[in-house]
Amino acid sequence: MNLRVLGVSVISFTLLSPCAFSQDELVELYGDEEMIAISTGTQKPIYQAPSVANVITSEDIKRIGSTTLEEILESVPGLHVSYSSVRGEPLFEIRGFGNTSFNSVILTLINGIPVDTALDGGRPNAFRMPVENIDRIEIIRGPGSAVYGADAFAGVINIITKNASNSSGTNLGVRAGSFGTQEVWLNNGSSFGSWDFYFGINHQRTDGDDDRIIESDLQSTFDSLFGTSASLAPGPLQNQYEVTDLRLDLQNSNLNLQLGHLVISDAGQGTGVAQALDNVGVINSSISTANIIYQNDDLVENWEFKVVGSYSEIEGEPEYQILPPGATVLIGADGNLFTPSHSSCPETGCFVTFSEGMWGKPYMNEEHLRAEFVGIYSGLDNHLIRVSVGGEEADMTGTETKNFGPGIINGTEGIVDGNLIDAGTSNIYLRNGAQSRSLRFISIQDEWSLSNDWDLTTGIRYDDFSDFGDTINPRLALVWQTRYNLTSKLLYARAFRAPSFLEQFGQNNPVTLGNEDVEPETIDTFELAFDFRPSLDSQLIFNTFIYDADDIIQFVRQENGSAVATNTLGQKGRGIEIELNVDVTSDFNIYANYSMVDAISKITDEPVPDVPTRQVYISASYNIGQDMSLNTQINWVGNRNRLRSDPNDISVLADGRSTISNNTSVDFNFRYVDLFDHFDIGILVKNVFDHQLFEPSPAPNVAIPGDFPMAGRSAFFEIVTHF
Amino acid sequence: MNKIRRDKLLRLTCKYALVLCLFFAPIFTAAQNEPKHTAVIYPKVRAPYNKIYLSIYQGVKQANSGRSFQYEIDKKDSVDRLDRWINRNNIGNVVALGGSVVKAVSQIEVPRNSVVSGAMFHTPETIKQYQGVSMAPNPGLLFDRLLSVSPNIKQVYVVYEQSKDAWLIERAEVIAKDKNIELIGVGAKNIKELATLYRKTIHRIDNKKQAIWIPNSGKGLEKALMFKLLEDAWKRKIIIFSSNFSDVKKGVLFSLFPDNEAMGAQLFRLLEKVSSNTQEDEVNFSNALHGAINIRTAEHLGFKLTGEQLKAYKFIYPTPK
Repeated sequence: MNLRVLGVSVISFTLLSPCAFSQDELVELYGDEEMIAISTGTQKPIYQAPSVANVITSEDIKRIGSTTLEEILESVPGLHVSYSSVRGEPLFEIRGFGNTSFNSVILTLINGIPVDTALDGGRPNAFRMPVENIDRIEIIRGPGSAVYGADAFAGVINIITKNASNSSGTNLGVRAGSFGTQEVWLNNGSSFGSWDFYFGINHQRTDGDDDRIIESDLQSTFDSLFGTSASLAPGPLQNQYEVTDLRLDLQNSNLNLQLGHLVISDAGQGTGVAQALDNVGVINSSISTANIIYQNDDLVENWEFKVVGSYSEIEGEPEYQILPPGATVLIGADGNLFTPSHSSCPETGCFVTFSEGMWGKPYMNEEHLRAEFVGIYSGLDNHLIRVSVGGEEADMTGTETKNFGPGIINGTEGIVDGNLIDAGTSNIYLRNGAQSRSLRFISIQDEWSLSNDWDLTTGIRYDDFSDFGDTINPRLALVWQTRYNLTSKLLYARAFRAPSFLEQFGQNNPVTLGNEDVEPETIDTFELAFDFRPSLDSQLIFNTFIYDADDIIQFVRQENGSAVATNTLGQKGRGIEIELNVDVTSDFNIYANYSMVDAISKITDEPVPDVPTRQVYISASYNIGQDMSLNTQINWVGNRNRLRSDPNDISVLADGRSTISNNTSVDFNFRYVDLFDHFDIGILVKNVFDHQLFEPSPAPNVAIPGDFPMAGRSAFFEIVTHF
Repeated sequence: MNKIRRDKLLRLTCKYALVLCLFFAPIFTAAQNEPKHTAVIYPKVRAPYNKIYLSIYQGVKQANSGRSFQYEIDKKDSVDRLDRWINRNNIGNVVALGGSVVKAVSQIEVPRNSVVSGAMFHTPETIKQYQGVSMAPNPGLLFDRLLSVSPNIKQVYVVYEQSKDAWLIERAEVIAKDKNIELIGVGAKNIKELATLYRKTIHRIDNKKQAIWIPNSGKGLEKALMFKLLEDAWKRKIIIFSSNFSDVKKGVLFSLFPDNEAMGAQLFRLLEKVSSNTQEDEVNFSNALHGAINIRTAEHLGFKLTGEQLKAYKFIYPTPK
């Protein structure tokens, strides 16, 4: 029997508007969107390790409106993003660590594979990452070496990129706004038979805020000393960059292939590599990675296996105009600035004028081959045992062309033009121009269910490096399900940072001379954490920590003026971090965190300079109906200390400048989703009140007397179509 | 003469008409006998909500040997347009997903035995309109799961609103008996009494042999009551399990939630029965289900679940490594 319509003429204009009601019905059953996403396989539940960790999802990124990795990380308690005085690249500061040239105390991973270089321990030159291929970011505050190995010292940032299970369909988006910022992205997640496929490309470019003016720089000092006028100051910081992120992910039930290619090009260098403004030198770098992961939990009873193979290549190709054209400076016999003069020079030394600027182009290429085998055994009552063995081969080669330095000039030239000369292997910045490192490791961890409410996780990892030797890093986590709504954790962990090639084998740059005897940095951290849920709509997380770090490597100034990598006394610290998350109504959420750290240098017994000791972050999200949302965030960064003098160490000079001003920024993000069914639009305003924000410039070398100004108010518009 | 000719003409006309009729009869018959198609009609909602409907559609499509169509009702759709689509595609049977779509389909005069409804919570009242499969899990499968975790449980308490859920408890009592479980229904006259009865019930329970079941007919328990209930259950180590999947995250021991593709197949089988008038009027529970467990609660209660046992659960909270 066919369906017949009676009385259609009477009701034919009746509109059907079922959407709101039906969606609510599903929410009632599933609780929230996350549960729906998990139950439909759209999203995989995220394991929360027994450590102090945060997970930022792609939904959080959209909600807040962050367009770069560094912006989203600012929302994490105890984490602040500052900017390097060397190349203007972001520095992730956690609990009083991280304000160093290369940020090597933070381990940064993409899909579990480190992106840090063996050369300097930091991320690739001028590292930036756009966010549209990111599914989530897992951040561990504190040590993680018992699991991750080297450099998981002050924190771990693991960026997990999207795949077809969490991103289906096709999305095409464009974003544009202040400072000549333009961004475009295209991604697609789909399935072919038993294979899931994801492809994503994300390109972002910006000129940076040109109103960030530096009044005086290192060359200004030289100009006043030597009667020249070469400085580009007053002039803007160079914060332009282009970045392209390509991701390909192919997986079936056991096998996963991940390919990634991140290219940073034409990046400016902030203040210039030597604190002298550089408006022509640029940085190009890239990281290409291929990972293959095989997982199987059906091979042997009670065993789960995972094998990871990874190859990555990191390239860095900076072009530094160290001093601008016309700079006239004292050059020593080894061709470097202010080193002992050539014997033929007058007593005052030899002045050299760099008519086309003082240039250095240190190229580097690193290849990393990694393999890890993980077995998880659940056959013992009350125990879950995880064993992992693996290794890594790292090979780094470098070349360098420049118009100064050993073997190139000796100070007697008078005038040096812009013709750059290959420094060869003996005069390059690194011994032999090439270094290799092998690593073998084994780790074992046991999650022991002591009783109904008590779990003890013990882990230990042994790492053996071919260059500096071996380290052992234990970890303990005692977790007590104290009450229905309270979980308490007591954690201890030891971590280490591997000395970089530069710290061991650096040469020819008098301020970064290597030292083969340098030992790894170590840190011991104790933490006490409470996760309290006062109601079903609220969560309060409180943790307090204390740490003691030894053998921190610094380039310590010697009597002859050079600086050699040396293990120093290190630093100690303690602090608290508090997070509050409240669903005020089903459409209104408030998240806030407060963090406090008192980090003390064991050399000076004074506060560690430049890092924030107090931070407050508040975010309020409001859903207006089903389609619109508004998010406001306030970020306050405060109480940063200047470097104070140390009567016991003449190499430490006091920074007598006035205190570093506190930063307060307010951002708005408005989104309208499913406009005409296929479009999402977003309007984002950062630093709405145009507050003057500053990051500290380094001391005691106050080449730039003022602190570094940060970007003023900016606005962006985006439109995304999905089909 | 004229009359004879007229009669002859009439006979000829009738003859040719008959021949024509016979000639075209198979075509008419074919049109009349052409199998009707099945349509799954669901509302347009954004991802990931839409995945639930799409999975149900896939399930219907796989179970149906004939052709299946899908229709996503848009905000701007009209009954007229829906009707035209149904006629154009020769739709004979409809699977209506969601309460609002059921309402929309009811505006078109459709024979009751051509429609089943899903992706909603059914009551004896709702199935008077159309038969359907409820999103609520079959209590029998909940009891099976309970016994697999804790075989010593002999009695299950259930506090319910008499006006809404008496039918459910009546049926669940019969199902429980089959599993050697005594279901003890504690009927409340209203929401206020429900809260009081929950508090009383939890304090009289013997945690070795008795457990509490939170039924679900569409709405979860009020949050403050749920919080207090779970807090008391934690202190007294009482098993609480729920028909509501989202309660697992709040702290109940386990729940079940629909395998949507299998739910689609269940809906299609029901549609076949309804069409052949072999289906009794009663609420059909969801039979194809996934397990969800809270291992924090399980550990507190002293249940050590091995990796193999955990494989029986699709959703594990908090997530293990």
